[in-house]
Amino acid sequence: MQNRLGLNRLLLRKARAASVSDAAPMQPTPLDDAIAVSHKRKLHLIPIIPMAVVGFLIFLAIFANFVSPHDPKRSNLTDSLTPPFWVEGKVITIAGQDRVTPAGSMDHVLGTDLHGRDILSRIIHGTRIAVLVSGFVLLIATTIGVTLGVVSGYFGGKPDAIIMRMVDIFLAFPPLLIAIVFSVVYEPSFRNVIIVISAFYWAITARQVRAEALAIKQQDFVTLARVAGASNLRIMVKHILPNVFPTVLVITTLQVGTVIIFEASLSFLGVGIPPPNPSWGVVVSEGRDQLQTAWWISLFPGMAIVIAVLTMNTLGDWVRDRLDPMMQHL
Amino acid sequence: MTQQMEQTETKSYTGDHLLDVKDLSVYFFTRRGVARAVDGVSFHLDEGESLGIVGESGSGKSVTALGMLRLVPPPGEIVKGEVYLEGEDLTKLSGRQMRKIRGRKMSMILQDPMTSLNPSFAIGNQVAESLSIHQGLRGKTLKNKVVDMLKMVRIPAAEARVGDFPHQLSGGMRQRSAGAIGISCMPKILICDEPTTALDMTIQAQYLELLKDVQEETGVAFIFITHDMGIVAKMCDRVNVMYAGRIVESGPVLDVFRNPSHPYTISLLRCLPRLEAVERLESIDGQPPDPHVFPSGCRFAPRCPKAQAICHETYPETTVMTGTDHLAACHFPGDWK
Repeated sequence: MQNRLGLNRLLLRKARAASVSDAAPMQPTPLDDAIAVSHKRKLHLIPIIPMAVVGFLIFLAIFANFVSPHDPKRSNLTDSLTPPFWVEGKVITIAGQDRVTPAGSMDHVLGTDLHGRDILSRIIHGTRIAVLVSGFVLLIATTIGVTLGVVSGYFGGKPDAIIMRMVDIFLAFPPLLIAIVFSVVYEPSFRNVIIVISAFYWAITARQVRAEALAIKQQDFVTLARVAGASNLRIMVKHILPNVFPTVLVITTLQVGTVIIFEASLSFLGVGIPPPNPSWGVVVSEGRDQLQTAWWISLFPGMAIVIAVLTMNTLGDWVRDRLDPMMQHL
Repeated sequence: MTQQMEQTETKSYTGDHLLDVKDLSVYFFTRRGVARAVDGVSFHLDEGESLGIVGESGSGKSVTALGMLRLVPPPGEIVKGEVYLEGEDLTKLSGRQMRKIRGRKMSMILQDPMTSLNPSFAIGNQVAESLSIHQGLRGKTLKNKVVDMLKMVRIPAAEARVGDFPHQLSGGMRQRSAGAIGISCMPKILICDEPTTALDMTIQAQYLELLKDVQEETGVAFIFITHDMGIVAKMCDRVNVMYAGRIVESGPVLDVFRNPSHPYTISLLRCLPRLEAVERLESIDGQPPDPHVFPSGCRFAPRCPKAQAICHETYPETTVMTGTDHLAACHFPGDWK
């Protein structure tokens, strides 16, 4: 912000200097230019690329069935281990015999895995799983976390102590370990993955929201709401909640990336989304054994994870900057 | 002290008062012990009257106000005393009944206009809150009422300003909006806790004028909590001077200003800057006592220039000064200058 303001001021000063030195009135005036530049800069603050990528990912998630060229679960052993389209078949010698490896074709743009399943289709359907898991997890975790956080911060005392000790306990367990134990006790499933990840994330949200609520309830307008005869519920819903909302939004967007990684890790370890469902983590782990020969199986879903997480982090940073209290009034 | 005060009060006032605070004590139970923030305070207020409560920071002014509203934050507690509002003892009401009193019969304006408005809502919505809680107004009627309230506090172009957020308003406008919230339900009593401290001098005067106008229009009774004797002189009919959790002097403003009887009041008045005086501003030596360990005698004795042996031993009885309503808690009231 400082930078932007400083720059604008610099531009304005330059513009004024220019208008003084030029005797003839200019069309348009340098001042207008400076203002136009500052407007342009403002527009550039919206991260167009990450927005577009997120939109694209959501589009893929919704229309996976129509977009993907193949059925992600259908195996076809004749197409086994087809490389991406640009890779040509080459001759390798195995045990004294020459063999020709299959060449890539446009039929399987990003190649196939050991069972001949199309990697691109699996990644596209993996997007659906990633979006659904992070959506559900953040919905559940944020709802629980915000509710308990506001209650905890607003009331203080015993409710606060109980909720915060619960948060401590939930954060004390190593989440991966819990997930593994959980998947041993129960069958790994889509639902269980969401439960396990939510159980970890609500605690983070609750702790942050509580801190925020603590600060907000000290403000005079909360006292005045009480003076006006508002009930505790009303104060929490109408006065605390809207003011923790920016924080919640920032935490949530910044968490999307970590949730995606978390899900991928669980799936990679075989305790997340059960195969043959094409979660990105599952696809990466399926390619692990062929990493030296068929690198494409693991690489492309890995790249999908990187792109998704990077995008969400960029977006989260932008949201945080936008909602920064220092910038709120600009 | 309190007994005698009550007696004189019942003598001088025949009917019941709008507000009658009797022997109110609010203690804070902290780790260091019991802090007696308000320690046996009695006063009364009539309809349409303005009462000033003056004293240094920490003398218990604000806690008295919060005590009347039963909003003392923990670890504070009302340990004794009654607060009668129109003959009803507020200390005996349930939480739900108390909520109906707050905002509708008693309301409050706080010092800092920056924090007394919710930054997430337009001011119109905030003025509307109390109205919708207590009068159940909705829709068009509610909006009209809100605009009326904003007009009453002289917000220019009130119809257009309803949707403005606090950060779009100036300090004076914010404080006026806070005032609109305070009077929105036409309370009987409006407590103003240092309402002008955060405003600059010209806006201060304007705001006080506004409050006076509002009082004329609505007949609300004011309690001004302040440390500014100037505001008391300008705005109030009667004044309570508080020191270390107790009222040390009370009476009609003119009597108290012309004939201050408690040494603390005298010192306070001497601290006021005067135009004609060229000498240095006076100050009161020493610090107010720690509310955890009040001195056993008169609480002002350690700082009092006229303190005698008796002052350090027993708390002074209340003495009636000029008129019937002017009281001072001092062993040697008024007989020194």
